[in-house]
Amino acid sequence: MFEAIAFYLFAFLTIAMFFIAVTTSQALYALTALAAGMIFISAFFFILDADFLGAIQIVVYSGAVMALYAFGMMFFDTTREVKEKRGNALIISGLSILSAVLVVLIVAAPMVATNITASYPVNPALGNTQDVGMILFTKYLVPFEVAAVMLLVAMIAGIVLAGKKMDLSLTLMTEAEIIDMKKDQNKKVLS
Amino acid sequence: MLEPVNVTLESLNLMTLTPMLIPIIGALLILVIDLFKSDLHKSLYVMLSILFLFMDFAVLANTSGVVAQNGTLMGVFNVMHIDGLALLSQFIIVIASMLFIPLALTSNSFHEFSYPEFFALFLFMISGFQFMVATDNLILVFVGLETSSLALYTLIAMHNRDKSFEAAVKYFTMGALAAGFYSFGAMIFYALTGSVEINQIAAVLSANGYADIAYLLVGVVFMLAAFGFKLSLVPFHTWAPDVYEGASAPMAGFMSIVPKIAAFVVAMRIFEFLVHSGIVWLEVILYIFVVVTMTAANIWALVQNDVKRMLAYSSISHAGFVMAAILIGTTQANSALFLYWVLFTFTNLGSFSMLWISRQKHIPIYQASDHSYNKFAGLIKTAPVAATIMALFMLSLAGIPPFALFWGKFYMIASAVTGGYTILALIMALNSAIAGYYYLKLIVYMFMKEPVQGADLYVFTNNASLSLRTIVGVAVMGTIFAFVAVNPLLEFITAFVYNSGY
Repeated sequence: MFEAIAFYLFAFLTIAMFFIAVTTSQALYALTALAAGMIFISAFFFILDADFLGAIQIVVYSGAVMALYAFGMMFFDTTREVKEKRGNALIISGLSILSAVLVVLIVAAPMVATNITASYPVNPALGNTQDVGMILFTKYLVPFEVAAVMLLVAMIAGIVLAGKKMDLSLTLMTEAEIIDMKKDQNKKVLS
Repeated sequence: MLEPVNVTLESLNLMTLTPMLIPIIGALLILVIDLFKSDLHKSLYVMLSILFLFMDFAVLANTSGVVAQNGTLMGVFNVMHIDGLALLSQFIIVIASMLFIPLALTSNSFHEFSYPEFFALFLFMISGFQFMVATDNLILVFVGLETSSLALYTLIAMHNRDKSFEAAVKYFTMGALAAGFYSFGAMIFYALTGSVEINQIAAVLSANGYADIAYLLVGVVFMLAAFGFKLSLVPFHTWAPDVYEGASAPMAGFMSIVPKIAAFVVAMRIFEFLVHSGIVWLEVILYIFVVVTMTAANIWALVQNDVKRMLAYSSISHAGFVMAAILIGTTQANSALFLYWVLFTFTNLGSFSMLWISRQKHIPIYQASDHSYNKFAGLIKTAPVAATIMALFMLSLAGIPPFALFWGKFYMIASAVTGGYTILALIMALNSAIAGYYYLKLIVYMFMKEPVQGADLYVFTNNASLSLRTIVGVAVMGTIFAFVAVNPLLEFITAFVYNSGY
């Protein structure tokens, strides 16, 4: 009973928040509504006894991703109304209905296959977090570590591409220009 | 309280991880060297990369000995899955990378090679691809794929001109879409079977007799779209020509070989058990993919004005040709796939290196793009050796005997006929004939036309250096003398493919 009430309450709240995020013309409203929606989603994880994922949802989406968006917003004038280009209404509604049906299909797939057995069932005596940790650091140790390498790659890529050395392009300079530039001690020396 | 877990070191079988760890260590070493001394010449980093890739190769050779004796190696809680396919594709990945990285030593300076990070990212990318092929766990495949893709996007953008940014952003957007499709597909497979390991998915599905066929097909559609993007199958190919044109020639050549073999191996693992289980729908879809990709890409290649774009469409068409092996699904076809890809590596290495040698920094007025056809007009008069070598690679790509790719096409079509796909074999042969037309167009330009008035006669030694010439030499040797190596190579490949049960 309590779970059903909580589910419908949070379902309504989440949809309302995301609806605001999509329809509002104020960037600041959209941002706040999106953050609120993300937090409400975590409630579903808690209802399903997946406390670890619920906490992760708050930390990653509301904490990290939304903070990133907020920083991004600082570069824009958020008080101004956004003028949206509206395309063909038929295409838009058609595509939205199609994707909604697709999402329902995807979510319904596990319900159809009721006879599946989990390879790593949850241990009822313990919390969900311990179970996740156990699997993550035994069976999924390698993917976990490779994900760390992936983040390192992404970090290097970000630093390189946003770095000052990209301002000048050796690809477009002639050899004489490159030699001149290297002689010029005041500039940043490229090897 | 949880009980402590006891894991013995032997049961982890850490040997299965070593080939991937070597490039990672190499990349970290390059980053550390850069921290301490920042203005070292790029040749040091090229040599370090080759050294680490060579060590990688040696470890792989050692592992392949063990696999040949004891069969498939499993390690680290059965996540690593080293079988014949994993080893063969890793051999191709490592050797192709060793051949492509010396192309950094050009006589002109290009932006990306001034960064030590270029070489670090390159090595990270190799280890990503190796992780991707050496497992049948869909999660590790995903993480490996993303590691390598992120590095690859950056390597393209580091060329630092407008077209390469465009290429990197296009590739990134398409790659993100493909990653989304892949994770949806993996999720549906997990929902249906409760496992993300391909052999367990296959076991569960065959145990329940493919009961939820509709959901399975939705999952397969997502997977097909994801691999369609990665392998640039029509209609998911739209990014390929722009990305090839914007990337530097070595990166474009690399992209046409290494990411694709990794994706082919994963596609082989996922789709072959489905094709064998008699899902007619998947067979039909794959058939359409193969035929449309081959034919449409060939027709588009006919009308290109730029040699690099033509080669991009040609490599789309080659990918379609090789995709036929996954449809046919016999041991012979799968061995033909690997043989084809080894021979294609040498030929494409050669043709993209030739483009790289002739790369100008500033495009003269009579050229519409970096490598437009009229740049090559009358090349036989101004640079006879370069013209002959380029013609050789074009003939090999067209599948003219006795050059390398003829043998690949030959075994592929033979396997189609023995697999019972006679019409497919006919279409493949016809497509090889169409393909001959646009490769010959370049040869006609080089041998029959007069050079453009006021053309730069030295353009074909513009960017050359000893290491570039050496790489072209290796490619020429590989292309001409392929017929010596084809039989032993095919025996080697077939033994490994057969051992891993494909």
